[in-house]
Amino acid sequence: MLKRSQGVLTQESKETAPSLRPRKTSDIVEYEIDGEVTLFDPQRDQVHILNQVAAIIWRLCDGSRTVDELAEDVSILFDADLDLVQGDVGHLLEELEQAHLVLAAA
Amino acid sequence: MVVSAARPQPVSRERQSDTLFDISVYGLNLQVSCNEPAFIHWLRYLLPGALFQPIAAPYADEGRATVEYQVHMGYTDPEDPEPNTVTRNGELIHRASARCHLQAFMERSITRELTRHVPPHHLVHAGAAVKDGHGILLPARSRSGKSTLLAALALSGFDYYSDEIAILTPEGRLLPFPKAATLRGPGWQALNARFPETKAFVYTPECEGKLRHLAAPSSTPTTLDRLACPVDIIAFPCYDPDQASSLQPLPTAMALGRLARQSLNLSLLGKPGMDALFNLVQNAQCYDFFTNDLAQAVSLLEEKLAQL
Repeated sequence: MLKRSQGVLTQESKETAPSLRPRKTSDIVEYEIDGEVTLFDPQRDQVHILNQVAAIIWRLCDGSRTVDELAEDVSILFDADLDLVQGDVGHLLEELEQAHLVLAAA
Repeated sequence: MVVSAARPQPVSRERQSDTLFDISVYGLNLQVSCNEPAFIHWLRYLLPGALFQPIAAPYADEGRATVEYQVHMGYTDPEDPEPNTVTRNGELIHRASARCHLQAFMERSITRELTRHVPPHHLVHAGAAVKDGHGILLPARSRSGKSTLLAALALSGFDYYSDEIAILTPEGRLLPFPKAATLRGPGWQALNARFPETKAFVYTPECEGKLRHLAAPSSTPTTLDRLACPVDIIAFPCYDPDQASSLQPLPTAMALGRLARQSLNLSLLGKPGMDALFNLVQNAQCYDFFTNDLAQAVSLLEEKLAQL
């Protein structure tokens, strides 16, 4: 699950295409406590836990940024190497999409 | 600490019959008939009517839903390998080859009925105990050691609320479901080693000798308003023989997620139910609870309560 790491996934997976503009799925209920976020999907009766990094990335998914732009924002936010961040953000978005928490719209 | 004959017995809704069991549990009136008196006897041990009377009293009879189960125990023959049946309101819902399997099925059925008839209360797969007005919630999956731990707490002076189903009001207060604790072999051995006197309070149904039902201790309060307690500690138990017993602080968001995953009726409650859990974890201390030794585990909780 998304909580496994500090926002960095090590498992190989298909990344979300750079030009897509991910946005949060509607009807997801967000609960924030001390920077970490628990998400409740009432449609699927599922609960997800995001660590601080994953929560920030999820919140940035408002449909206005491409995946590349999102990675740039994250690298600036955390003062991290863009190449490293791009891979991590891509993997995370793939997990969020599989969990029906974001939609990767063109 | 144990079912006490000295405590004044309120009027019980149980009908006196060898083949009929009738009990009111919150908004549910459960009736079970069976052709074998032993099964009814086991049900009365599992759900002691006197302990449930206070939590049924506020509900008027007409406000309760009545569900009728008919359990029939038959004899295996080549023509019918599953002669043991269960019907619900006249509809066949289960067949079993072994009689003892009906007990496990009945316990699960009772849980399912509660999820339908307890809302707006929240049902969580958790043990629960209370001491000095402070509620302790122990959410966990099966075989985590929570039933053994709850039995140990009850025998150590805590008020026993449940070993399996914690009921939470929308305001986050803990209510009891004091069915007899169900212990498996390893848990029973650990409990009996620490509390040898428990042998006197155990009912062992005929189910391949694997289960022990420990009599539900009586709770001191006798009215529903006194039974409802705030939850001050939420500890997720995990039995680990290789690790010393300890309480490790748990991030609240993590606790919320894990607690929600142990909910039995979140899908029925929806967002209001999740909101209630959110408020609950924010007002409680949340821990990972690694348990090894029962005495140490009980002491750890007592120390935490003393600090409140």
